[in-house]
Amino acid sequence: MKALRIPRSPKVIVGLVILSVFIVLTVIGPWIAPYDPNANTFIPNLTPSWEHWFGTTTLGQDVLSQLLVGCRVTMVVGFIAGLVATLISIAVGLAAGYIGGRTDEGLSLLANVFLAIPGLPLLIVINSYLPAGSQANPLVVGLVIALTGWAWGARVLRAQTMSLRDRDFVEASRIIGEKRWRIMWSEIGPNLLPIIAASLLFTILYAVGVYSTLAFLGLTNVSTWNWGTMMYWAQSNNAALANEWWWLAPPGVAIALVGTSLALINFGIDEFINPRLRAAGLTARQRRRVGLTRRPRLGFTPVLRQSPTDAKKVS
Amino acid sequence: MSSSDTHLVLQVSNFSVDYGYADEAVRAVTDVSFSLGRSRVLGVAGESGSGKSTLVYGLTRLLRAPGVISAGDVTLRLSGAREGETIDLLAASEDELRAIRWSEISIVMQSALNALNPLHKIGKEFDEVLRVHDASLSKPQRRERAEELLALVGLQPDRLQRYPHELSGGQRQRVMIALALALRPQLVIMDEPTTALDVVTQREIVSELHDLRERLGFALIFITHDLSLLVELADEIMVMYAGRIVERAPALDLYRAPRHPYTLGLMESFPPLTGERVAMTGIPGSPPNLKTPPAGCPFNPRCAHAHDRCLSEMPPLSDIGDGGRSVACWLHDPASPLEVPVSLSRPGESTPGGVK
Repeated sequence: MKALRIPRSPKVIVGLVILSVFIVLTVIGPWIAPYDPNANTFIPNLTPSWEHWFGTTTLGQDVLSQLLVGCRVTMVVGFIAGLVATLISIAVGLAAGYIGGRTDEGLSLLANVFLAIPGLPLLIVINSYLPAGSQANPLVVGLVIALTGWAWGARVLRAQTMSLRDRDFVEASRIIGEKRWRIMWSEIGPNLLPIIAASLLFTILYAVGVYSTLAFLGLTNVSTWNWGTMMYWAQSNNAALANEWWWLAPPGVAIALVGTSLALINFGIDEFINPRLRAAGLTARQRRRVGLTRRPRLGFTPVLRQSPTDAKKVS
Repeated sequence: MSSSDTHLVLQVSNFSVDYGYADEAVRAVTDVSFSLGRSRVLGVAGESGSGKSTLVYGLTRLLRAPGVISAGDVTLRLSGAREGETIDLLAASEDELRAIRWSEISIVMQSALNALNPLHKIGKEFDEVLRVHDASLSKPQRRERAEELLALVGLQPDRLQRYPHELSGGQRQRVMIALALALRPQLVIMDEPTTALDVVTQREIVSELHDLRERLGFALIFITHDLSLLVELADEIMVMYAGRIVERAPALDLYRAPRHPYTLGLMESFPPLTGERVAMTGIPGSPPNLKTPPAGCPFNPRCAHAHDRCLSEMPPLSDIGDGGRSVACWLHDPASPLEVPVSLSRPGESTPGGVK
């Protein structure tokens, strides 16, 4: 009951609100877009106005419509890539860390290879081999991005699994003959949750960034609308030189907001897992309300009492 | 207890500690008052969760968040160059606290293994604290002092060259005690220092502490749940329950004739080291949830002698005469019409079965 209460940290609330706005837009974005994002029938280079909230492009297209339509593809690719990469990293990290030996050496080598290969060039190469139809398919693109994004999480999970595998509660289950997969799943797995959650959030962020980068470089199908292709068209039409900020800024700000919200939620996970952080993490306003003049610190326990003279009067 | 105030090292009055803030606060220590004289040993006993550790960490301002000191006064009399001055620990700034920690008050924690850096030789720990405290000491002088400190706790000087993992649990705990004494503090606090050790080692350390206290003259607050251990070491014992002092008495008197039903229960939970075998009865039930303490005396749900008044009114800690003893129990209220049960009215002179 208490564990499921709504997070009170303002950081988390802000993060959740921003992310839910984008998730809602992912679902309804293409439906609420005021115009067809491809329609180039408007007066070019309009500054933001009531008819065109974010103005129009040099090609006479509505920027807001492109942003709303592009939200879906960007977010779907980000979430698919994040989920798949996290699943791969859990499987590889747990197996390498728990089983050890040759398995560990093999899987670690694999993870190290993927860490050492620069992700973006690899993606460009893989992407160029995809059939043209698949380049526009968010699922395929998401899987390809996942392929380059799992190794970091796997390394972290492997390290944590290795530190957990020799703890007494794990050894006890080994001794009483629990199956290996059960120990991994129900003894070690839940202890990895905070790391898995953090890894998921940051892999989603990585995927959104990488997908936008690929699209910005024109390496995905440029006729699919996403935040990266918006910037690609803006760039190739010299929007920055022509000072058409309303064209270039919205996709960039959208990516930044998604990233910020994911990072803020991650703070919340930390505080949820570690109650000490929560206690020390009173906001300045909460502290004032309870009468603390400064943040509680180790070795300097706060004193909330009436002034000594008052106390003496009472006693 | 020494009669004159100038011999008091520590004076605590109406001290209370909360965990959490404002509406969510849970009072873990309530209205504790005591004073401690020079080179006296005060034992603090009680079950897990009775507030004994919270009390001393609160006094020394070492309590972690969300701990908050919510009431009281704590006065420490300084020694050495600042002889005669007193300091209010609850009003002290961080710098003031830093200045008195270790040199005036030192603390020994339960887990000696975690307190020593595994990468440092024992000698380095001593060397560092001595160098920081007194820059005028030369290296050989510091070494000599470290050897002297080790000898105090019965360890060979060659242990200075060892790493913590090369020492046994008892030796590590002795090193911690020697470190705590390094700057000649006048008040040493030990939080269950012997709980992780076997009974034989416990006994050795306790008897060493006894000698050290006599030789060096520091005052000692010793926390444990083992009353029989306290009786050997302490001059006075405070028994805590649900964050309050329920009984305070000279150690031997308390041991021979407990006055509070809870103290009696604690004593019946440990076998005497000598004497005939007696049935261990223990205390039924478990300590109260401090978020929702029972009305009246917090011990009433577990007390065999609870009566109507215990269910509604909180008994104050009051002096019952009998050699400076105080008890928080309605049974000993002079106005109470109730007969004090035989087990709690034993005269101090008689001895329970088999002891001494």
